[in-house]
Formats: sequence, C-alpha cells, structure tokens
Amino acid sequence: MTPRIARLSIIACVALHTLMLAAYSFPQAMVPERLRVIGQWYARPVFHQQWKLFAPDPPRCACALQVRSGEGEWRDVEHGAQHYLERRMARSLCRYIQTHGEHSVPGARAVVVALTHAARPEASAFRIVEHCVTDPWRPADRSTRITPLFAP
Amino acid sequence: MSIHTGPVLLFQRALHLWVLLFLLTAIPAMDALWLDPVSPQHTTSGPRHALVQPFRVWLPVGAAPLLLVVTLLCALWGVFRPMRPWTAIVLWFGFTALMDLAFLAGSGGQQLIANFLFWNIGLACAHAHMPPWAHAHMPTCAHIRAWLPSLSFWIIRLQLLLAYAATAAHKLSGTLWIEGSAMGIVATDPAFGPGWIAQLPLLGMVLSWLVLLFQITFPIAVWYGAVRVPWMIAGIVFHLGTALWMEVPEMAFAFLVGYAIWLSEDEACVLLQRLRMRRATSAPAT
Repeated sequence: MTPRIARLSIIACVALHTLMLAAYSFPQAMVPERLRVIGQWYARPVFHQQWKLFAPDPPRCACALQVRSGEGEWRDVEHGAQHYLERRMARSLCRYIQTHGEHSVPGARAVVVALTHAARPEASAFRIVEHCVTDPWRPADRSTRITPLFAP
Repeated sequence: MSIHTGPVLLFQRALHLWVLLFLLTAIPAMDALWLDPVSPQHTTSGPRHALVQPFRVWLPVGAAPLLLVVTLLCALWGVFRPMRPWTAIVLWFGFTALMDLAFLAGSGGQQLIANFLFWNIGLACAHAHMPPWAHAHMPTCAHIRAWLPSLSFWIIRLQLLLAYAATAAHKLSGTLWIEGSAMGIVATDPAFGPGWIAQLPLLGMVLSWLVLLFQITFPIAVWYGAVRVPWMIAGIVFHLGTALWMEVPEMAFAFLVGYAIWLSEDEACVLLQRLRMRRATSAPAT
C-alpha cells in the first residue's frame, strides 16, 4: 500500500466509523431513518454508547424505590445501599420502571429484593416515590407521587 | 498518517489505570455486580453478542471471578508496561463482559472506556513499530507510522468529541438546558446535588448555559492549539464537579482519560517526563 492510499483509507475508515456512531447516538430527529437503522446495526452491541444523561431535559421527577417489611416503616433502597454502584442499580431500575412500567423489566421484583436482601430480608411491599418539579424555576418545591409496585 | 508516541503512551497508561481502579473500587459490591448478579440477564445470540455479552450466550456466570482477576492483571500490567495486542484483546473482552453482566450499574463512562479499550487493541500494535527505548523509558518522543495504530488513534480522538457533540445535541433538542433551568432541577434531585444551587437561580442559569457551551465548543476547540489546553482545564473542573456531586466518578475520569490522546507531543512528553521524575525521586536510595 502506498502512503497516499494508506492515508486515504485511514481517513475513509475513520469518517465512516464516526458517521455510523453519530447516526446511532445523535437524537432521532437529527438523523435520517435509514441511516439511523444502519447505525444501529453497526454500533450494537460492540460500540454501544448512550449520551443522554440529563438530556434532552433532566428528569422532572426524582425517583426512589422503597420497601417495607410487614407493617414496618418504608425504607429507601438506594439510601440503604453501601456502594455507589449498588445505589446506581437501584436508581437505574427505578428510572426504568418509572418510564416504562413495572412489567417492562422481567423479574424486576426479584431485582429489588436482591438489592435489599442484605438489609431487609423480609421485604413484602414495594413502591416508587417520585418528587416532581412543578415549576422549573422553583425546583426545590416538588410534589410527591406514590405508586405501589408488584401488587399480588 | 503519523501519530505521536507521547500522547499514545500517556493515554494507554491512563486507560489501564482507569480500568484497574474502577474494578478495584467495585470489588466491595462484587456480590451484586458479578457473583450473584442483580442485573437481569436476557439470553441473546449472534457472533457479536457472543463477543461482548458472553455471559448471556456461552460463558457461565461462575466464571466471572476468574475473568475479573484476569482483567485486573491485564490492567495492572498495562499501567507499568507496554501492552501487546493479545493482552489488549483480553482486557477489552474482560471489561466489556463484566460491564454487561452488571449493566444496571453501567454508565456512559464505562461505555466510553469499552470503546477506548476496543481501539486500544490497534494502538497496542503500535509498540511493534516503536523504537526500543519507548517501551520502558522515554527520554524523548518519536513519531510512529502504521496503518492500524493510526486508524485507532484517530477513532479514539473522534470518539471523545462525538460523546460531547452527541450529549450537546440531545440537550439542544430539549427545552430546560436552553432556558437555563436544568442545573437547578438536577441539583435539587436528592440523588445528585448540590441542592444549594436552587437558592441561587441566576447561578443555576449561568451553570446550565456554561455546561451547554462547553459541550458544544469542546469538539471545535481541541483542534486549535491556543484554546485546547484552557478548554481541557475547563473540562477537568467540569468533570471533577460531576464526579463529586453526581456520583458518576468513573464517567468523569473516563473523559479525562480521553484528554490524554488530544495532548500535543510536547505536552505529553513533559507530563511523561514529570511522572518519571517523580517516580525516580520517590524511589529509595540504594
């Protein structure tokens, strides 16, 4: 391969790879449908990436998974976790259920039990507590919404 | 197309150090992450899935501890010694497999590192083209020229810019970042912070716009020598802030790892020489 061909082939490969990743990771509205589908085929699962933390808007509702044993007090799964990665798992699950519903995560109840098992082995009731911003310019004033989970 | 030895070596050491520290700090949570994984494991198929999601396709979950040890050893090796391509492949495979097994604990930072590690395999091929002195000690820096390392070098560079550009594009497609109220909402979420920003709406507005401005301009600024370092310093401040308040430390440091490959040859050489000097001066006298 001559240096010129090598140089051109590198530029072409870099440009193509970056274009595919851009088609995959940019907002849907900015990418033509066909290109987005090709980008998904190319990027998943080896080059998977998602850049939507607090975007397009940060979530207006803070989300907390809570459990309780019998008639005891409700306890926050996230705050009960010792490690930041365990807290993140509780937060991710809560967000997912909040967005897609409890039935969208097969085995979600088992996941919550697993996350709380060490501290509260007899967790019997589950709920999501959301604190929602009503006015973006007064974010500290939030309304509370409670959704029971995993009803028998 | 030539690439610079200094930034590549600095990037690789930083990347391997990131993997080492991340996995070590994750060990206290290894029960929920890998031993008795909490994240639901849906089975899948296909050769690409078999590569990056092996626990869903062909690898028993019981192999996770062994894979963790092997991955840690590879990362440890890469912090101190130049990595060969096969070691880089093992490191990439181990990290992506463990990341997928604990996907509920995942973050954009982990995904960024997984992408870096994939192309790090190509960079590892560069060592075959480096002068012998560059393998262990670098009294000066040199240019290397090879197809695969050059491809990997530029893809890693653009990957970092793509991450900033994509997140800026997503924010621009919403309303709260443009209005300036986004930081206040994030700061008052009990999972994040700092909550006192809500007491100062003007500060919240300025910070929202600064974050947006930084993410839009970074992919442009790094191409210009005069503004590259100031923008990187702004990025370090920004990412350390997110590490401190938003509980995504590995995301913050993943971006900072990517900064290394955007340094100039001279800047990287200065940093490498300072690191070597520190190691030399801290070594016990014999």
